[in-house]
Amino acid sequence: MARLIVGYQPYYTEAWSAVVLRGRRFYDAHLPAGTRVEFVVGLKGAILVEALARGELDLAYLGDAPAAMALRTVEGARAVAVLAMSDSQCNNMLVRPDAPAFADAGAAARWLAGRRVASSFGTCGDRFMRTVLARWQVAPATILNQDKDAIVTSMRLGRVDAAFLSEPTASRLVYEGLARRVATGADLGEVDGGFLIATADLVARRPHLLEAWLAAELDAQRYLADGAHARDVIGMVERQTLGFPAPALWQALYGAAGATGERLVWQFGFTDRARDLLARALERAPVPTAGGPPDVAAWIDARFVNRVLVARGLTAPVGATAVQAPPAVFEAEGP
Amino acid sequence: MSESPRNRLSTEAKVSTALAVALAVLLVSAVGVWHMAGKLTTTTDWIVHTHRVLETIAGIEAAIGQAEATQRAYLLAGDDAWLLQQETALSRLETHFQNLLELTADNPNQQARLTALEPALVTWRQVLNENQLVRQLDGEEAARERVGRNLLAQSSAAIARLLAAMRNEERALLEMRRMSEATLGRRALVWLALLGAVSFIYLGMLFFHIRREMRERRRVSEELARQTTRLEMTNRELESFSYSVSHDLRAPLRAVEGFTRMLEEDYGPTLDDEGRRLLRVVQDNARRMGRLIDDLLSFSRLGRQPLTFATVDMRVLAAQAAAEAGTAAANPSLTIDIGELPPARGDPALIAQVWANLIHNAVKYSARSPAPIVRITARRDGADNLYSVSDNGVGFDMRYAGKLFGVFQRLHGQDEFPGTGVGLAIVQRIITRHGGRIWAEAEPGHGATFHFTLPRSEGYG
Repeated sequence: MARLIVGYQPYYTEAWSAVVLRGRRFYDAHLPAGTRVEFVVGLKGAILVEALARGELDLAYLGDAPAAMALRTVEGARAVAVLAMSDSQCNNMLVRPDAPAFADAGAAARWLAGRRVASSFGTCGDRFMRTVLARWQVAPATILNQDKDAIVTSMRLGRVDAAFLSEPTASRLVYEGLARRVATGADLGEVDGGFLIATADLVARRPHLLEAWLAAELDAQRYLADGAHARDVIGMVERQTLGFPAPALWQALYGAAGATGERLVWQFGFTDRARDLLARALERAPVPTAGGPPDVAAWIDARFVNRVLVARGLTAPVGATAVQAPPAVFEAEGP
Repeated sequence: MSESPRNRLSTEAKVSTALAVALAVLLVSAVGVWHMAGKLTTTTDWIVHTHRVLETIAGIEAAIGQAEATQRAYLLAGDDAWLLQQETALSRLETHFQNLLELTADNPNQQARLTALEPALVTWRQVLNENQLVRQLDGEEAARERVGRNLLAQSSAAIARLLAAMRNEERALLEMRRMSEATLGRRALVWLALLGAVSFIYLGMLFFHIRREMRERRRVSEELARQTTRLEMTNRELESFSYSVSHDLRAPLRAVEGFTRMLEEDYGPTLDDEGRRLLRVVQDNARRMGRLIDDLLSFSRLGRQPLTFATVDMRVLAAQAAAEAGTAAANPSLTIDIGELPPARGDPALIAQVWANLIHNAVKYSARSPAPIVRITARRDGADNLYSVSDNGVGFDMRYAGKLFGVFQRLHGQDEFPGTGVGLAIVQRIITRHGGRIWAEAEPGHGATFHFTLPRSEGYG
């Protein structure tokens, strides 16, 4: 019996296609009958990268920074699909609620000097923090390495001044009144995104399973791009996460945060924008390379997504999740 | 004594019925076994499922223990590497939690416990986070002091209670399912043993019945063979006797013919008219007896003569016979009409005799018609060809049709229509030996039609 082990992050919006895949079992329609699918939760990408390296996963849904890390450290791993891209899913800077109002992102960044900042090291949110600090040459007093849940606690206890972290935790902090969002990638022209990373074994020895999974992934991305499924999607995420209020999840996926009316753009295929993002992530990955900047094409295997797209008569990107007002029931509940 | 309906059933019907019953028994048994195997498989699946639930609960407990252990290590060492270990443990915890949600989707009690478990886990995580924060911001001593307050143990105790309740329910379910599996297993064994015994007994009975039937059939077959042999011997003896009689009769007959001829030649002039008439009567009867003996010999030979099969052109044979009969009749008003006649498989010489006898008869018995017509036709009749010879002659009464093909059987007087009464018997014997049939239709004064069938020649007609 075929078996596929998929690592995913229910606490990372750009990888929620995996949440939908699990919730709706889209893979049943594509994988050979009897294929057993096992899902492994990763609270952050680095955990899934380690699992990939240990050979415990076949596929991993990762943000751009962990994806680059996986490609650089896991022998033969390849990016086989693109998840969602945005400017405000990983790229969020939040400050405590009583922080002063800032004129712009630069002012907010400069306010960090000498203060306590938290991020989860190795995540794409952490990558954004380092970009912000470098851009405005700011040195906080302390940078705490905390996972997303720990950051919520720290903000709740008022023991850190600012945090850089991805959605949906950023929206949770805002929704619960624990923080204010003061900058996103839109302020710096920084995009973020997720990638689906496959092991060498899956690509080389079980390509039929990979292609079938990607067909299901496409179903999930298109499902997410359809605003009519918003309530169902939020319901699935709520069931697959612990302690997250539904309105915060809604805000993360459908609330306005970045520069455009599109909260997320589901890429699926390797668009130029996605290739650029992965190339920059590979450059920033903390793994030394010899012989200059890495060639991103060497880490991408686009054959399968291209075949799936051709079969459906589609081109990348395959859809966008538009900003959408929350249902009245969320408004009534309050934080 | 009349035979009961049961005994009147043929062996084939008995065996078919027995096999049908055997098949029905097997079918019912197969359905029963399939049904039981299905239930057993389902129960076994549920047992496997319960084990998975128990393993998943154990997985949650192990992940909690691992997270707490790695935190203790972090609080002591302050090394971020322990944080990643802790997050790995927490990830495992969430993986197991999600799996448990799916695995117990059918069990409302367990779902309710999981609903209660979620805030307990959130609270426990909160304590972990606060411990970590204290270590990161306030140092090792503050962290030690906090750990000493045992907040984590209090928090995880609530989780442990819920997990223990879940485990107890799963163990109870496991016990119940194991008992059910054992019961089903025993039932299946009993059922299979019963089925095996019934099948064995039934098949044994069937075996003995068939063996008895086969023995009876063999006995009947052997008896039949013996009777056939006896009949063949009798037939051969009869034919031999008939041949001998015919042959031996010829010698005195030749003597009668010879002496009457000498009597006519030497003493004819001395005899008066009545004497000469009586002499002619003797001569005519001697000749007629000669013909009778010839025909009888021919008929007798037919039983022994081997057949030489070939494709026979029936139209040619019929035409030859018609020509001979027409010549012999010397009747200018006679018409013989020969239609399309498909070829047949048969002995050409014997088939020629069939045509000769039938056409000769038709010509003879229609001779008194003002315009005698003999029609020879043919058509398909299943796997055979059906040939017919009809005339518009005197016909005969169908009441006597049964006598037509008997030796020396005649429906008309010798004075009316001369003949020996052997011709149609010869025809019937030839046709029968070819696997065909022969019969006649007639009406007094309206002619007669003789039909015979022969197997179709392959590739023809």
